[in-house]
Amino acid sequence: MVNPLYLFAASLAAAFLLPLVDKLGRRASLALVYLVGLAWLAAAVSWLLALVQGGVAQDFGTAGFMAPLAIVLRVGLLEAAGVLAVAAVGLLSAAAMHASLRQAPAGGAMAFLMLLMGLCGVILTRDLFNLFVFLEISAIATYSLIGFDDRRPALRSAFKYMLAGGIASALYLIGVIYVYRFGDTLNLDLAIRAPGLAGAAGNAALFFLLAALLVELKPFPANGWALDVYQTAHPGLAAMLSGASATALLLALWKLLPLFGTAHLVIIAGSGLATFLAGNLAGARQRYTRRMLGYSSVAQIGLAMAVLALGTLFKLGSELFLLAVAGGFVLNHLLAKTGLFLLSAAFEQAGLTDAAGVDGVDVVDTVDDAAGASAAAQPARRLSPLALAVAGGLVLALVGLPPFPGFWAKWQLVQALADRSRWWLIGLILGGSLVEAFYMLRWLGRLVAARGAAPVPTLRLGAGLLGPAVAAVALAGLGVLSGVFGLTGALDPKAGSTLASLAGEPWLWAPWAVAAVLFLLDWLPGWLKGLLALGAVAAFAWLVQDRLDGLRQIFAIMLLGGGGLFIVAALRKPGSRGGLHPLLAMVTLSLGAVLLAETRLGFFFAWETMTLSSWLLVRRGQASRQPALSYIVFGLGGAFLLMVGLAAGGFDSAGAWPSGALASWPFLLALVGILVKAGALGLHVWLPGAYAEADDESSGLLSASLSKAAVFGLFALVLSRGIPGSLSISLGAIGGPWLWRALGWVGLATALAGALYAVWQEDIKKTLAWSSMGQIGYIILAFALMDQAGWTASLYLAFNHFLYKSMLFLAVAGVIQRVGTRNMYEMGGLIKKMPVSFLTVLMAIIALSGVPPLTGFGGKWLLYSSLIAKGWYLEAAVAFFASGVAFLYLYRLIHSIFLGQPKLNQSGVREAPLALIAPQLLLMGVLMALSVFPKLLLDPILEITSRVFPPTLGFSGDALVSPLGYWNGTLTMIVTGGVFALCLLWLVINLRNSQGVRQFNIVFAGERPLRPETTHYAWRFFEPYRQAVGGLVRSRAERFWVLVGGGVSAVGGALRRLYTGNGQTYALHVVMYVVVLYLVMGVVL
Amino acid sequence: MITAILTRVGYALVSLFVITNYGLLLIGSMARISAKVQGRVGQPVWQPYLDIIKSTAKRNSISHGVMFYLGPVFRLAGGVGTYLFIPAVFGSALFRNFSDSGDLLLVMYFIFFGQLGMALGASEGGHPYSAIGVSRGLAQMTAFEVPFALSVIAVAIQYKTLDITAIVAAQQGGFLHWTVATNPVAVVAALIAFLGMSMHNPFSVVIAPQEIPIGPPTEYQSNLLGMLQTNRAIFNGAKLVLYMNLFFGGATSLPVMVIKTFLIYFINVFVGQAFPRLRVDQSIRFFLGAPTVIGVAGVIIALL
Repeated sequence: MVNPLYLFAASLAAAFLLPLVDKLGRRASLALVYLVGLAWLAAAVSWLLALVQGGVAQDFGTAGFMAPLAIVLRVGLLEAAGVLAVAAVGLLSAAAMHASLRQAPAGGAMAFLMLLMGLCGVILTRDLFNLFVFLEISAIATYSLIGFDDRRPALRSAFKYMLAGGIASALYLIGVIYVYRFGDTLNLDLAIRAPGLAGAAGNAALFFLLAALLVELKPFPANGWALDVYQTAHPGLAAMLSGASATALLLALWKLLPLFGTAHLVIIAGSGLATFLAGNLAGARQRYTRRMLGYSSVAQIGLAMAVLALGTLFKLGSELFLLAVAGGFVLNHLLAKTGLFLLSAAFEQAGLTDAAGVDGVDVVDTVDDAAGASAAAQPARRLSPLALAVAGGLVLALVGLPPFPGFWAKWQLVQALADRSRWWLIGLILGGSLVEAFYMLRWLGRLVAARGAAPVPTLRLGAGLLGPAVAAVALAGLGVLSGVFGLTGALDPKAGSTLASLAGEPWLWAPWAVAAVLFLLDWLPGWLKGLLALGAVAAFAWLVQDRLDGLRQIFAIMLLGGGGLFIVAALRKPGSRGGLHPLLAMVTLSLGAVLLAETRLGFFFAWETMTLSSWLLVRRGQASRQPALSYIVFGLGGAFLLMVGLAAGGFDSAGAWPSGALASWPFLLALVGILVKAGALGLHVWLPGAYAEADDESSGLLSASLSKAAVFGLFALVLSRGIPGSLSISLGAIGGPWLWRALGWVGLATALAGALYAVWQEDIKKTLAWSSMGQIGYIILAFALMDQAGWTASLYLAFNHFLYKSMLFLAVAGVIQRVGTRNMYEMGGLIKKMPVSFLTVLMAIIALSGVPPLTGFGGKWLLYSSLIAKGWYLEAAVAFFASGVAFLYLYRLIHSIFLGQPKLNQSGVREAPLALIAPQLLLMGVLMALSVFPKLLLDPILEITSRVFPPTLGFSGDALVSPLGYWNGTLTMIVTGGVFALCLLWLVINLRNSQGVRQFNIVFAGERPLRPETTHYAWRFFEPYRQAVGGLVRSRAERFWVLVGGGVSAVGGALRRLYTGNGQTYALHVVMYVVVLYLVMGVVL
Repeated sequence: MITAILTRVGYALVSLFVITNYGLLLIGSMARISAKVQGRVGQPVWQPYLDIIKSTAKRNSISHGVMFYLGPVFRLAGGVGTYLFIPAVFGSALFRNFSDSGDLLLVMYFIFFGQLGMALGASEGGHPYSAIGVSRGLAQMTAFEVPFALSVIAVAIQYKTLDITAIVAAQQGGFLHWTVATNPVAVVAALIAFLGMSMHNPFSVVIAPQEIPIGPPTEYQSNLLGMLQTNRAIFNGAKLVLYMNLFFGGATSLPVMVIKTFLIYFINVFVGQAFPRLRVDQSIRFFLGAPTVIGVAGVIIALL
């Protein structure tokens, strides 16, 4: 292995030579800096290669002696990885700072070299005093680097940094003195074994070391100086500080950990968690990108710090496990934050002073305001797709979404904490993560410019994008490696098997692979991309067909088939429609992945993939900024609950929920997590906005197919394992009846509220969105019955909802495309212009309302039969009421759009494009076939449900017989058809001299109607109904969540007030922080 | 096989013929009774026949489009279908109809078939009053369905079935076996709902028969109106038969059916003459109030 001393020597020599080299020009001196950086990088790579190929960690003594006679440098796996990270970030930062380093005096380049060397020294040294020296070198280099920036705020922040750094140095030095006094050595390895450090005095000595390191790690509240530095320093330098410097300091902390006792560890953990929470809460209130990144930075470092300490405190796992988890977080943070700071540098260079600074809106804005508010404040220039992808990758990694390293680390951490029943820790960590996700994704969401508006010039980022792109690619690569080989796989392939991975489930990567390929091909024409996406879905379905059992087959039709239909529908508009096809394919395949997952991690991975891809799809919509934010925040919140539930389930060796566990709280958490996605009442506030503001074909996919993934989740949850397994369920394991009764009422309340809200919407898509929510409510209600009839009803309703809601969304997409508005009262009389769409809507609303003879009645019959048979009488009555309410909005829908008086400005409207009509015709055919032969659908469903529960339903001939009654769908259809034909015949026979009349030729009390607008009764259609029962729905859930969001925001605001910007206050914070830590340590000891 | 099918179809046609004529006479006689109450002479009992013949014989008919034409077809098919799914006379092959298509739930939902189709047809007429009428009718419908559903649930609890024939069978053996005797509270709820269903006073704002023409039939004329008038008779008959079956012991013969349904229908007239009309929001609040509570009480009684 290369002796690191050569590199230190080279760095120092280069620094001394710089003034000379600078005579050749600034280019030469900067080249020297890059060269040294490359040398560090090359050395780190060579060390890593040697170590991975079976080498062992090696100590290098200075001056030919080993400890205790001389300072020792150690090169182990972690050190090598750390130096690699520092060198890589250093090179990227130097590149980003290239222009400013050229302007600064030669000292700038020198300081940069010293910073790089100092950080590497911090990582490599095993000597406590030497550590101090390297800390000082890097700190002083940083002060001067900030100081070379001539702007006043930068100078001020450099001074504040010096104040804090000075205090930290003093503390550290005191600590070193005491450690030497009590431990008789400054070598770390010897100090660990030194008996003198065991007592109270030793504890105090170590406390000073620890306090100094902690202050350098920017803990809450002693981190005001760091936030100011992040905000004001050159973003390249901020990247260096947030990425490289924090990594080096964390490694230093990790090195010292064996010295520390429980009390110290408690301090580290507590301080880290407090920083994580406070940083994220305050970050949620930030308007300025770099300060927001700063808050996120201190939070992430706090988390990594806490994980290091908690791992030892609670013995969460082997050292390797700890390294993998903490390392995963650090790596994730390092790359993501470096990339983001560099990106912000690129924005600045491109002339965007504060790229899309967020506007501080609350977590849940009122849904109606969202559309209006989001249109106003879009960035004046939009990012290129590549820049957007890079920014997206970095933010998603930071938030811990798949497939990035943070995702795997989070899963392992939560699993380990759950195994040791540390619930409150899980709560804190996930709560903080959610807040961080909120503000980071809000920022990302703002980077997406509105589509369809006036063309916006693209922001040219040029070479500035290179650094962020490298970071994003590295993150993705490491993430995929972690996923395939287990988290440690990225570090050490031999240990890969010890941690959970997706090694056995390659198809879970299909959404990512297909999305990646299609995004690369996004320049192709839309129709070709559509065909490719369709082909990908078809190929996926064909490849995995053997893995689908009966239940999954039914859901596969809804999920994959539905996805295919909407991909076809996406061909309705010409042009490339950038990003739409890859996302549609990704969502569809992620739904397939949810079906196929076999492990809990796999299920959660697929679930998160689905959440993420569907969020992107929603965000693609024109005015979707606020609704998409609600969507992803609730989606992630639900996913976190699901994750805890799955992690804490205490599954037996077969992977089944332990007996009686279905009423336990892990199960409840997972259930609630899934109910969020299903949009159950109270957890539904994301739903109407997301469905309404997504692209029209995407809304259909969300409502018709994606909601069924939630339904599948419900079934999978109960059918053992916490993930879809074989259809074996031991009925004894089902939780107390109260649980299901309660779930039933949740479903019922959802059904009623969804229907009532739908009645008063003017926006056609909002009507359908609320209607979807209501229909899912029935599915939940039937599911909660927990018997054969109930589950049959649930699956039947789910399939029907897929059919008719697809039809409605497809037809409505065509209508909106042709008339250019979503307000129903602005339409009218379209039946003659769009007859096929009308027919689709007609059949769909007959099916939805449950009127015989179409297939929807089967759902109603099954639902009421099973409810009454189970003895849920009140539920049956309320369900009947809710079903009645559905008639209101359905009639209004078809009347306001297709019937009544046509608008004069819509006289040129044509039928919807073929891409929309063809799927509608197909679905109508399926609907008719299932109506005439209900057995086609019911036989497979009964086959599934009869295996799970003792059968009470069955076919006798064509009649479906329940304990209470019977229903013969075929005969009903024949009788209805016959009677209808008879009546039609009567009409035709008696029809004489039929005369078509023109518009307005109606019996209008002797007056001629003036305009369609005054004659078409459509606006506030059910006003008397609102007067009568409007009190039932008063947006209580919305108000609750606004309160929650407001509360979080207020706490963040209050925390932020600590940071006055005053250097003296900051210094006081640091001192007080140390004093408090000391007192806390006294208590814990 | 074919003989059996033809026999059933033939029986159904006879059954339909009977109920149509009975329904028309019922409407005529009720109108006459109402007139007497109000101190008028009133129309002849056979006036509904004259109306239908007149409408059907009109020289021409105005069309607003295909759906406009299909509205009355849906409406009439809805009425006829509803009747055909109910066994009219207990134990009679002639009046068994096609009740083997489905149980009580099918009948309850098939009622909507005609209403929905008619609403759509009326909408294509383009008359705002039609749409207003539909909006009022639907709004009111959601409300009166609640006490009705509760009483049906009470019946299902009591007889442990939703099969109408079985429900009638369980009530045989004398007056004390009828639901009205065994669970009068549920029947009260059902009868209040019936007032709403029949759209007589005080729940007649949907078609507001006395003032300017309003409600779904506004634009309809000629034989289209004739079909609607025919339907009114059949549909009324079907609902009356259903109520008789569920709550009043059914009928073992045609005369019994006539007497029972006449008396049930008379409740409408009785209330209608005594109460003024309510606004839609008032009637919704009404149905969701006391009648719903009564319905819940009926369910509780059935459970005891």
